[in-house]
Amino acid sequence: MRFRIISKKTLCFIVAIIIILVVFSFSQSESASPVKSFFYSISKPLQERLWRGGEGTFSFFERLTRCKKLQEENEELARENNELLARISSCSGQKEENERLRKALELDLPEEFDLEISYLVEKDITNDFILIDKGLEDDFKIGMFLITEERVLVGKIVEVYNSFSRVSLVSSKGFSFPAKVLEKDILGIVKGRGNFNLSFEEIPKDKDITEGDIVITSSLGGNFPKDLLVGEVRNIKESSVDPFKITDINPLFDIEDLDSIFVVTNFKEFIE
Amino acid sequence: MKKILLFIFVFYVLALFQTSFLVHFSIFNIVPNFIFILIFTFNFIERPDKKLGFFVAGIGGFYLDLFSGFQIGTSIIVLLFLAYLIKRLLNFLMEENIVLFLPCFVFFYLLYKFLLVFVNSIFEMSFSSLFVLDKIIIFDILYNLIFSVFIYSLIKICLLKIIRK
Repeated sequence: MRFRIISKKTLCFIVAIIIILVVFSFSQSESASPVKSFFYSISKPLQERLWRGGEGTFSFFERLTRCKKLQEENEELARENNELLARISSCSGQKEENERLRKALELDLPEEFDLEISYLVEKDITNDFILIDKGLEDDFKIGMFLITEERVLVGKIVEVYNSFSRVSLVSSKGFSFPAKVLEKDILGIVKGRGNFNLSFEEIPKDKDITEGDIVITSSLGGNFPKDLLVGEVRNIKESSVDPFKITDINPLFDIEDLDSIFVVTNFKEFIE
Repeated sequence: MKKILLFIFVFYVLALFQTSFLVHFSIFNIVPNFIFILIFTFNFIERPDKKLGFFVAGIGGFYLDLFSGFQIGTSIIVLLFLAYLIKRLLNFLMEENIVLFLPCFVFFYLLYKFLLVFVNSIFEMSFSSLFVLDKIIIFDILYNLIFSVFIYSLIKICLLKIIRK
């Protein structure tokens, strides 16, 4: 070695600092690191401004490039709207009949979740994490899950700070839960593959799964309530040696457009 | 001291810019990692016997850990190790230039990605996540490489004297 790059003293100092930070970070694992909590609190105003600025700038450029497309979409939506109006009018008769039947049978409507709306302040899409603007102050807890207004499962809270929570998206590596295919008797396991990719695994070979099928949560495992939307099946893979089929899943929420989100705050009480 | 304070401030703003502003402009869910680019370029250009590069790596790693899902310490350890490797490598090279910069950046960026997953697995005591060299990683490298060339050129033109002083 021609010369020493780091002296022993400097090296010891660096190692000591890292150890202190790591230990400090781990020792607070229940309520998340106070170091992160402190920095998130002081960064909140600037983060919110940057977030809105980014959103505004992006939508400005998007509008410029999408002008023509919007016109076509508008015409298409108008057509769809007319079709839907026609369907609504035909359904209204059935709805009245259902209401009458429900009253007659004295059935209770299914209990809905308690939802708390939150807004995103940070996205770490490479690692499939997002940061939302509510935390311990709003009684958020680790394990609470998040859905969109269309009841699409987005992820669950993995760290809670005073006024922020870190959410692991369903697509993050290591995220897995039992699921099934809508209107079909097909069970499997949804696994996060990272970088906004999901797979549906352990599907028995004899089951007829097709591209476009919708995957929903199953009550098995008890982590999530049943019937939350997860994604759409695509790219079915089958091999002669493997007893199971594997498919990719297209998530039903768009991470790029995700801005507000609902946190389900009463699921544990609900299943109890 | 002025340089240190400047880096603490610049990296803080960059970290916020990356995680709150640039995410809206991601391509295939990839956002350029300006902090890594700056750390790599700084250590690549700095004279191998200087130590400011280690500080730059440490503070950059700290902010990356703060504003990501990693435990504090993960990126710090990885980036300090990479800074050390870069300086060792530069001992064997006569003079840094753009021709050497490009393959070195690709190699160190790959190593950075691999080590991040590895160190994070150790911290979390879980080896379920593996580093996979797929199309996304290759795109990620190319995307960051483009920005790194700009930053390298910018530093060479504007800040070289200050860094090497």
